[in-house]
Amino acid sequence: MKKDKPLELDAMQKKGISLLVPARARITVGMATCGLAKGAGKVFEALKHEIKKQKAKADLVEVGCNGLCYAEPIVEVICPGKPRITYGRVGIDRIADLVASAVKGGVVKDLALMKMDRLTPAAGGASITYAGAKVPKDAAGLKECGKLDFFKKQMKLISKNAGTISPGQVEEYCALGGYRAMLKAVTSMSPDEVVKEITDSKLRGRGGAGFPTGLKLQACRRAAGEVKYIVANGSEGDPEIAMHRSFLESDPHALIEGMIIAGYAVGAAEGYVYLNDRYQVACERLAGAIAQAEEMGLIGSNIAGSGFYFSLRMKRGGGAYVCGEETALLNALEGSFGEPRPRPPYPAESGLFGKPTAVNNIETLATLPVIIAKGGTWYAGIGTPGSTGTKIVALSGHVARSCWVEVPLGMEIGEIIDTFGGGAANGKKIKAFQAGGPSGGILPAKLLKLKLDYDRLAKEGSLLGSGGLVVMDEDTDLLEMTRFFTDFFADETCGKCSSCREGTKRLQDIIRDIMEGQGTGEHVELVKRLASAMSDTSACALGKTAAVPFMSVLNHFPGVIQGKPLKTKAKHTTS
Amino acid sequence: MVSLKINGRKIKAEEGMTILEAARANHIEIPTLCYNDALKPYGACRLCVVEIEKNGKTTVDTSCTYPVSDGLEVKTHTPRIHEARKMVLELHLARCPNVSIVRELAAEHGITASARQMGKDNEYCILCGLCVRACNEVVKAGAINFAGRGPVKMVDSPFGETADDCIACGSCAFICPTGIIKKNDLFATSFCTPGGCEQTGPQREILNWKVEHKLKACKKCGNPYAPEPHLEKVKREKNLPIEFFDICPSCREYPVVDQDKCLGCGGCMENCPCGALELEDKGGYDKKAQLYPQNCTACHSCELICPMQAIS
Repeated sequence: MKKDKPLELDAMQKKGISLLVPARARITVGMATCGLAKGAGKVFEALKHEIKKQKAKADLVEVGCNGLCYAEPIVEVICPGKPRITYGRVGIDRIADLVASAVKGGVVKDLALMKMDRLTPAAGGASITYAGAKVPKDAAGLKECGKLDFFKKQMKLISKNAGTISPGQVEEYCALGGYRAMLKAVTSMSPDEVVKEITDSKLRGRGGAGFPTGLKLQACRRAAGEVKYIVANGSEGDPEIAMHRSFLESDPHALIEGMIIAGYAVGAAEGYVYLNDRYQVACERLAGAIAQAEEMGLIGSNIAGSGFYFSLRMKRGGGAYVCGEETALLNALEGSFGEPRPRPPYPAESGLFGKPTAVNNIETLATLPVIIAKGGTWYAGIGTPGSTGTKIVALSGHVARSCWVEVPLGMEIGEIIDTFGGGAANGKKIKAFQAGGPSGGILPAKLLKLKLDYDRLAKEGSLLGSGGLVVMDEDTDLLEMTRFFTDFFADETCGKCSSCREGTKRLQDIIRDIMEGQGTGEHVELVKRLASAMSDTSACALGKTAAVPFMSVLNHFPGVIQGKPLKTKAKHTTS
Repeated sequence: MVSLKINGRKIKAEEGMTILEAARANHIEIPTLCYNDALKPYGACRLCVVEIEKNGKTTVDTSCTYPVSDGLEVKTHTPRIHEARKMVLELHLARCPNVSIVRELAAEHGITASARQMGKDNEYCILCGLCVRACNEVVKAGAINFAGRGPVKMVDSPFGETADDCIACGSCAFICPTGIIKKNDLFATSFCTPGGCEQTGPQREILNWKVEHKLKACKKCGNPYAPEPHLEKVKREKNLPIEFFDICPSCREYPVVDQDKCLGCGGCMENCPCGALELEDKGGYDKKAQLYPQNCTACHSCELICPMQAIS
């Protein structure tokens, strides 16, 4: 058993700040999957090579996603006393220029997107000052990051570190106050007080159902038994959208801090992160972060002398969409089939290995440190009364700027798409959009005024879900999209319950007929009956919502399905 | 005890029972395909769905898995449930149009065929999981399980090869509601090569798991009565005298307890591997051993242990 490590948070924070506001040039490259897909890896290697070649006095650091996915590869340069400069769409042909100017504190004007004088977190607290009072001549023309709508209209409560810190450096996480909330919870609050703050915040699960987190943790805390577990649901299987991937690639310590707080709240000594194995980079970075946290005494026995013991393990899952369902996830964690369990009993009462378990979404857990630091009532003041706080949104599809942002709940979806995404790409009009993954169906442009809110979206038959927003422009073939999402459900069904396994297969048959012009009114009536039966009898939400894509298109775009040549009686020509 | 209502009737049920168990105990019928009271409920067929009202909220869920609790109001045959069951049966029928039990249940609900607009398969396995659960929970051989996910789900032996752990007990074939599991007892078999034929004696084959095993013959009557690996498993797990395995159940002599010699020590009861003996009040001073022949396998463990030689 390792000797109890004393926690030296002050020293770690000091070191972190000295790394973020360095004594010599710091060059960072956005190395989340969005950046890597655009060639950030090659840019990183080229920079490494160039720095060596020019014998430049600069440090090269991998960071995560700052949200400007459309402008990747993103390279940032921080010189002592100068503002932080963000460069976008950096190609390997510009590396030499960049390095040369960077060390001198200059600016490569044509690549520069914006500058940052000070990093001030939305939740207040510790901030970082890059620039001195005098604005350097070169940077005079650049827009200040905090004044751009793209950043002004966000509220980066949990994503404040993303794109700034090296995910592999725990001290950098501590620079802006990381792990202080955990320390506060385990050393100066009782578990009941922690649960109360979370309940007061009215935080709702960020994964799909939107169940009140405080209630879930409370139920787990109250459940009988000594052994309890915290499980982080990192199964993210929605096609086209990746909120958690970017989050874990950028700031894995935020999740770890949240899990320690959750563990303390319910009385769990062990936590598991179930992470989609396809997210290679996220898995590596999280594993590294966990190892660091152990080394620094942030997890383990007698954390910060509080007597609280918490250990954390990561388990890589096969990436099945159905394993995002919490009981299927638990089965998969136990080494069994990823199939849902009948509920009741709920996991809070009987979960992993039959013990009380709180299964929470990654984002939900990453929000706990903010709530503990600022208080539940403060958090409840953000967003709307029924949907408090902020949500990470990944904008994709036919949008001008695909990006990754954090917005207060209650913001209009249309505003999100316009402000951050720049509207539809290529000047087209938006025809439809999807919120919350395939279970959210396909909604018409006239509903763009809907607010991003659990209850508002549920009322429209959609859902907030994971927070993805997929934009579809006027040229989109909605029937093809319906087929795509229905095929998705048919592929991902676990196959246990006949309603979903057989129902999704038959939905495919019907859509195929309709697309081939063989559809009839009876096909449509059959889907309505199927949708109703699957919603009532399926064992989990996958089956219950599998017919939603078709039904949403039927309801909101009647011309698409009804208009597809349905078999009509042959016209008799009279002669 | 728990108080709930089913179809407006006040029902009392034991804590830990499911709605289905409580209903059936009160002669309220709910159709099922994948339920068996010897196995843990699985919830695959979705036929047993009912409306459940709790604290003013109504949900639809499977009665075989839902535990009873105070104040539940259950409705088993509402129009909503009827429509749901009919569609579930249509889905089963679309997959297995030629399976008798599916056709019968569908006919009971007024359905003769699945909707024309649905495609059709011709499967014989309804994926109820009864065979898998029997093999894993009761027999505990673990020879078969589900394989594949979603549309390709099937019941199989590991990697589709001969199920090495199968003891050929035939529980899977016995419990299968569709008859797709083919168990054949062959009284004479031979192994033929170009060089000639060798008589290989009575065998049992279960075609689905690519399994064939010799059947052991009774020393008394000569009839083959049990597969050898099945007997091997029983030998390993139960404390039985070796002669037990030589005689078939029809030829075994069943024990008789001499009540006058019986002390009521309970040694026979404790040593009985089948729970066929109980100590009961016979009106005398001591309790006496009572045999329950329906559980007895005539292993004679009781005879061997009785200190008074009261069992013969």
